[in-house]
Amino acid sequence: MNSRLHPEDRAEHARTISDSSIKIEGDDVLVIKPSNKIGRLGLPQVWESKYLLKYFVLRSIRGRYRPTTMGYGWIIFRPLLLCLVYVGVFGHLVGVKTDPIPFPLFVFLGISLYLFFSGTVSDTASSLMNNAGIMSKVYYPRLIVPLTSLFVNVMDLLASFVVIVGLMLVYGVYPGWNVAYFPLFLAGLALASFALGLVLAAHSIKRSDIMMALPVIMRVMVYAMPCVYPIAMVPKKFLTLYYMNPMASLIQGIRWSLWDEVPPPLWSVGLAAVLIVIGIYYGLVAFTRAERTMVDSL
Amino acid sequence: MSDTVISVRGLGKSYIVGGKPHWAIRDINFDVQRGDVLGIVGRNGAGKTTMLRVLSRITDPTEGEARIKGRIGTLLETGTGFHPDLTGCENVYLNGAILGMRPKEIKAKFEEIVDFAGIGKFINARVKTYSSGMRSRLTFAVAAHLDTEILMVDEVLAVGDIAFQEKCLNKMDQLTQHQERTILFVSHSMGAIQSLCNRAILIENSNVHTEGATDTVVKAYTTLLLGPTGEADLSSAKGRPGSGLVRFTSMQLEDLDGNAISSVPAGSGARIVFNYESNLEKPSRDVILTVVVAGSKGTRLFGLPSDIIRSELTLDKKRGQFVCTVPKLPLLPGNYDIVASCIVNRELTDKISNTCHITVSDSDYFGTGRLQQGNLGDVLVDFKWDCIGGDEK
Repeated sequence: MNSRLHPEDRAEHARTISDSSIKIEGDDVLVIKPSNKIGRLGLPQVWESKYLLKYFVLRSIRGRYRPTTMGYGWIIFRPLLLCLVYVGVFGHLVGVKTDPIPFPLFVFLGISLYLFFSGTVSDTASSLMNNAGIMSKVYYPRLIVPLTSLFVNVMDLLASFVVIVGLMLVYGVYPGWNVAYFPLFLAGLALASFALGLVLAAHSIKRSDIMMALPVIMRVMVYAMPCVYPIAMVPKKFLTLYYMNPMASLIQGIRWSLWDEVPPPLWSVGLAAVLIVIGIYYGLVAFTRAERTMVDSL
Repeated sequence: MSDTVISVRGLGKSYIVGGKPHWAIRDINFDVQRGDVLGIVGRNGAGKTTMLRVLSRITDPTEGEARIKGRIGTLLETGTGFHPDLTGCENVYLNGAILGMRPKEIKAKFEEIVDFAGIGKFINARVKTYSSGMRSRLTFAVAAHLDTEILMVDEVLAVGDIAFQEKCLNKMDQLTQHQERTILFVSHSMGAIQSLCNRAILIENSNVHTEGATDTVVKAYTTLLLGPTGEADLSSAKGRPGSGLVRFTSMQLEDLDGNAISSVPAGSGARIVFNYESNLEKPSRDVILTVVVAGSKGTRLFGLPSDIIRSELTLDKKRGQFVCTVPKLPLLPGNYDIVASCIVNRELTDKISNTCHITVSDSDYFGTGRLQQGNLGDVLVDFKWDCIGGDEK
């Protein structure tokens, strides 16, 4: 029973621990101490854990589609189904005109972007809650959690774009030179959705009302941006107010870059950029701060 | 001094409970050297797990600081991070990544992990088709192959079947042979602590109570639990299943003459006396008491159920004593864990585990001044050796 593993060299180890001068120093030393207000963003650690991000994204995608009979077909089938509904309601019943762009193509892009936006926001917002179990058991860079939500939705959006490119070829709609701005607007949309999700995630821990209201707000948001109707349908006097919404100018920007619709005014794009920078910064800080204490409040 | 890999100074963590701060741990100080296997012992709720959580960065401390040199790995509870719809193989990679392994490291050890878990051909089946045992084996297998300099283990051994527990402890044993590896090990099993750890700390009332060589700390812990006379107060012990109609309130070790003792000399007789409290409406003649003695590595050594020897037990008082007499306790010196349970009218009323210990002290059982070393097992038996010559040619 009493056989110890290193009996020979451990007997003298009755160290006094009152000596606070012993300090381990060095670059590779991890210091654990109370978090300050800003918290630790840990961006380098996130980069080191990029594999983890990859596995989490794969887990979400595989886990979501594998149990279904249609499998990965749902990635494309889901927006297609919604698109059909909107084509029926707005294209035929209401009679929305989107010339010269064919309505199905118009609405499919809108729906894909909207699904990306609402998916990213709500997944990111609920990511802390959904991963609370594992987060209370093991440490890994916490930013991985919302980033996973973002990347899963990016994957879905990319799949939708396969359909969009297909539809563009079918209808003979080809982009002009302004397609060069397309990645910028898309990245802007991703960052804006992510930032909003982060802020909500940070505050939803203390106020669970947010998670109750979120689905409703997301439903309404589809009409606050040019997803299912062209911007021309917005009354002139509301246009300034309409473009105050960064999502509206970003989505209109994507439409402009793809098939040369009316571009969003420059001021609204600038406003969106400023809001994104502020939002990302505030979101990261709020998230890191919330994440530090969230494990305790479980 | 350069070999100190963990140094903890004034570490404290408070939670807000009912509007007031409650210190789960406070003013914790200790150092760990490279290659140490540090056992962390203490009662339930003393702050062991909180400390491990702070050290593994799951939650931030409220005050003080800890400095850690080297990569840290944490042994997880079963199935943490497993996705039921992914295959065992995919989950191994995911789980490894959560623990901080790189894909290359996992790939290199994949065969070994699957082999260790004993999953075999099911590795490509979805985890939701696994039994809970298979899941926990796979989790531990991944974690056991972590190559971090520092490993933190919290009571994982409570999972899985006995055979797998044995396997885990052997693996831990193997890991600890590695001088470069530092391990922090929280456990309630004094046997496991004594056989694995070279140093230990005892946490009591949110603070470090004793620190030092394993034996000293284990002794301090048993004294803390038993009191100087060897009486263990069980009235406030938590985590006990059963209806509570009949409850153990304390445990006391006595010699065969009924004198209270704190340890039993190896090979001597002993009485394990439990005081009880009963809330039964009517007297009952259907009482089954069981004591199970477990040794190092959590292995059950023997059980003493009252029903197989047809002990006629009648329970008709509000309080009294259950006495289990063992004429000759066949154990070598060390600490043993006791699990005691009481079944009245075919219903479990109380079960105590992780709380009671008995200490067996050195004795001159064989009259030679010597006893077997612990590496020859826990059990003391009578034996003799003879040499019987064959026919001469």
